[in-house]
Amino acid sequence: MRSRLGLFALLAGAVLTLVGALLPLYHQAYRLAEQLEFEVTAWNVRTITGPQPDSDEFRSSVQYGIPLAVAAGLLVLAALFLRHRRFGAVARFLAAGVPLMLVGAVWTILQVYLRLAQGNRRADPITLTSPGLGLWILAIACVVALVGGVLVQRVPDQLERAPEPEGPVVYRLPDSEEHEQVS
Amino acid sequence: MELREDVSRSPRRRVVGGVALAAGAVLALVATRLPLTRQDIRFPEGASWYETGLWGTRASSDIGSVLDPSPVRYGVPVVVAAVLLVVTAALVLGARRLPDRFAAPVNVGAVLAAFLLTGSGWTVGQVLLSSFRNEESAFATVTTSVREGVWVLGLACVVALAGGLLVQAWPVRAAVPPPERGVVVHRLPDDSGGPVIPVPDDTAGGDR
Repeated sequence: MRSRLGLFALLAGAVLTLVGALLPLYHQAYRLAEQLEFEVTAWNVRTITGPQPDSDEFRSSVQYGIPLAVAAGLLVLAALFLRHRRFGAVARFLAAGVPLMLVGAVWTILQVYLRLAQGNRRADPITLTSPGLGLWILAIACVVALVGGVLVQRVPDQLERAPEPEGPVVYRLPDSEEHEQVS
Repeated sequence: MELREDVSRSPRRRVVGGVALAAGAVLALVATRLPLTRQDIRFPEGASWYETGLWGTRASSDIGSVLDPSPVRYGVPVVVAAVLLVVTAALVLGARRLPDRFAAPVNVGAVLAAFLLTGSGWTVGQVLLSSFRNEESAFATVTTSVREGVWVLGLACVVALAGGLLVQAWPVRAAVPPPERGVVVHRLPDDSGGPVIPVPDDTAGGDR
């Protein structure tokens, strides 16, 4: 039950990561002569108001989405191979580590956001930055994946103890008819 | 041959892993003091340079005054990961003095720290890639180069991950020891009072 819950948490963490990467990480509004407002996702920059470029959505110069997508892929792989006889240990290793890789990526994005949000505190701010839904969802993805990673780990008792056989135990005794009975 | 699952806990491998975790931490901390990229800007009337690191930027005196006074502190998650690596390395190397029940959490902690460093290091790499440009115009020539901080940070991630791998108790397929020679007597459950049947060992050879 514990392991199954962990498996679902890992998969949910992966899905939340992919969804969070597609949603805006932060919004920025420039208070210039002409209003300019845009939102940044892990892949693209989307213009909301302002002079329209060739397209109102273009590729972001920083592709945060790459480490996020790789982390999501590794979480799925870890979940798929958890019960594999040969790769189960590798899957548990990934299940423990990849959520922290996700945390590292999201934390770095947060550092960028915190720097941009410093501009809000100026007396007459030129830019106003606010967090987007994507940043919150990525934070939730980190927590969910971490919980999953912890739940699928084997506790020491499980490592040491051989599984108890179920039902009656039958021993095959070879050549028993050749020997005398000992009372 | 029958196989059973066991876990390997080679003391020497754990020591190497612990040392690798500590080395990863030191390399990560060194990387925070080194520049990651450098941009050289050549104007017709002179030249300037601009370096980016994990704690901010450094520039030649002529453009230093126009730099952002509060740059992005990419170094925060890297330093936290380095501290976690130091703690787990100390716990791994001092594992003999710890009760057995701490072994598994320490192993997981080593993995967490190594992956935290990798995740933050990789994302910083994505930011650096965006600043990579080489331009040539009538006004200026911009050349971007990778500095030693990138290599040291990359090496720190690899070494820390290797340490995280080495300290794990990986399952191994161990052969079940061969049965003892001679007559084996099986005690059958729920057979109290009944006869106990001696069974010859096939591998004993020559006893019959």
